[in-house]
Amino acid sequence: MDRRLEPKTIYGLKLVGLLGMGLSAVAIGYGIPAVVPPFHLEPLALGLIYVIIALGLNIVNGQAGQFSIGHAAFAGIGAYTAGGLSTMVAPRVFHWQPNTPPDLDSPGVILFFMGSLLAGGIVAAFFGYLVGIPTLRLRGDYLAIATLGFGEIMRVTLENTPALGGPLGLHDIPKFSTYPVIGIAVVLTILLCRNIATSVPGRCFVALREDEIAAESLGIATTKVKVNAMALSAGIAGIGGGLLAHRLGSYMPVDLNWIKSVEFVLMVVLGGSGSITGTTLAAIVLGMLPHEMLQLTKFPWLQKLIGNKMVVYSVLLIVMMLVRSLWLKGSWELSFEWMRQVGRKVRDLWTRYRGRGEGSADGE
Amino acid sequence: MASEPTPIGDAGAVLEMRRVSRYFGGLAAVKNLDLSVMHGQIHGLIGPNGAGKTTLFNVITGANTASSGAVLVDGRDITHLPPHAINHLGVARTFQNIRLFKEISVYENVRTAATWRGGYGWLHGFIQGLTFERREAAIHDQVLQLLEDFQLGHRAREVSRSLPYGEQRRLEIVRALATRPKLLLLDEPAAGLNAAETDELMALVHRILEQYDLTILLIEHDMRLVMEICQAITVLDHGEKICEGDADQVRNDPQVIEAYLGQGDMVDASDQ
Repeated sequence: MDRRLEPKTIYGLKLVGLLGMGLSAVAIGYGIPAVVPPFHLEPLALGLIYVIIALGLNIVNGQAGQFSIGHAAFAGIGAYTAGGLSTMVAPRVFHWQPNTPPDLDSPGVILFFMGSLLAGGIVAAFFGYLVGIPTLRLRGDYLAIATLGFGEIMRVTLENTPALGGPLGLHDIPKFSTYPVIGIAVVLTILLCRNIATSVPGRCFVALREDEIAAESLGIATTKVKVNAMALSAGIAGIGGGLLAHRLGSYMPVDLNWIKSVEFVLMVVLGGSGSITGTTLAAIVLGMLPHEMLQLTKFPWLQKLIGNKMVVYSVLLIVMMLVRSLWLKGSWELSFEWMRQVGRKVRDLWTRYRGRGEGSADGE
Repeated sequence: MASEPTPIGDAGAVLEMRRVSRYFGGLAAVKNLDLSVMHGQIHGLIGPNGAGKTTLFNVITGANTASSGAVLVDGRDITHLPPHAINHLGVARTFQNIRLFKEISVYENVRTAATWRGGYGWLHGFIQGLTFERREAAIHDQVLQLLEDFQLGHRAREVSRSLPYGEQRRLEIVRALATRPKLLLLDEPAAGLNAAETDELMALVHRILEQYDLTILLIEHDMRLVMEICQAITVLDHGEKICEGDADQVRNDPQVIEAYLGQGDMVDASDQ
């Protein structure tokens, strides 16, 4: 940070980073299905998709410090948009016959699916923008209540819209979200969020979180930044929602429940509020948790004790508050910069250790 | 108001306020105030507690909008602009109760402020290509230069909350400078500093003035500092200007003495 890197080094690191991201996309897409036992594959896929939604929320909640508990609704908007396109428009475009499994591998279909995901993201971002304009003038708890209200409005609206399936929601959504697709989406999202965090937008968000009055006195257009943060965040969540719909095969208004939003908030908070690395890990763990807890049926006494995921969530939160200072800091990231710091520390320790060894040898 | 902004106000005035008032409910925090701050000067703003000094700063920076009157920076009407736009026109400030970005490092504090002048859009940030790296490198150099200039280089990595008080004040000034202002507003920069630190601050203010082509308006209760470094002093009391002039004029003005000490025997304020 205080040392200026040579351009060559920067581009070298960039290349390494991109390569690493490509490799991880391949590892998620093809490595995981080959290695992980089938029982864990489905929950893991959900966990990975939750990573996208949680990272979206992390922008507004963790980095910009604006408390939103309406992200299940943004994900839901994305899911309904993308899912709606896949169930209502795609069959007509590609002449799918009812009751025969559609061909999901043709390039046209894949392109259509990409487009529908993007459309979901854009519609969600638009809603984020709309919600952001009036509500981001509110602070703290009031903003939380407003976004909560928005989520509930969306849920009830969908429940009462027969064209979108009413309370039953969308079903028979083609299952496009295979592991390779999820892998690419997750890696791209992480890359985008990382780039946001390390450039002007991220700095504006953090300034907003730290001190809004100081931020605006330093030339940061706070209202605009807030609304943009909300739109970006909702857009990413919307893409995640689209993926989710295409993984689950159905999406219901219940999935927009505020409890779902709270789960996303939990992922961000447990990840250290602001840390991309932390949020990613927390989203995977919490996403898998409900399914993995089915294992508890083997231990009835344990199941009785912590059989409800809500119990686990609250315990996790309490533990997190107790050890907050030891927990992942919001500013910590798995990064080259961090690796360099660790390297430096190890080197320092090593030289000190060696120096002392020699010193004591001399003394004796 | 009759005072429509004319292109040229006082020649050489960086900041001009014309019959500015600011009411909070029925209370006039600032009342019919005229003020000109000349280019390249250190202008002091003094007055007893509650005189409306900080409100005046808030009006200039857009945190509070003037109830009536006009505020001009370099002849441009900024009365109704939002705070960030006013900063973009070259007005930066510090706060009476320090407002740093507490949880991030000293370096990042300054970089955040330098950022909007860095000159790349959000899209460049998303993609992080060549333009991004070039501009970031420039910002990086500028920030390090600033930190070195103000003896904060060795603190760059530390979380700003952990700095000693005096350095926090200095960091806030550096952060304001990073937006490259032409008018710098300092709200009680010497509050809480001891005599030696105040001396350092005075040297610092002089250096800023020489090194960067700017004008300083400062609120201060430390009379020694004000009398020593300010070329012009404005005294406020109950939101109104009661006196303006150089140190000697202000020191000997009966109204000022009354505002500070009350009526009675004449006391030489310089003895304080």
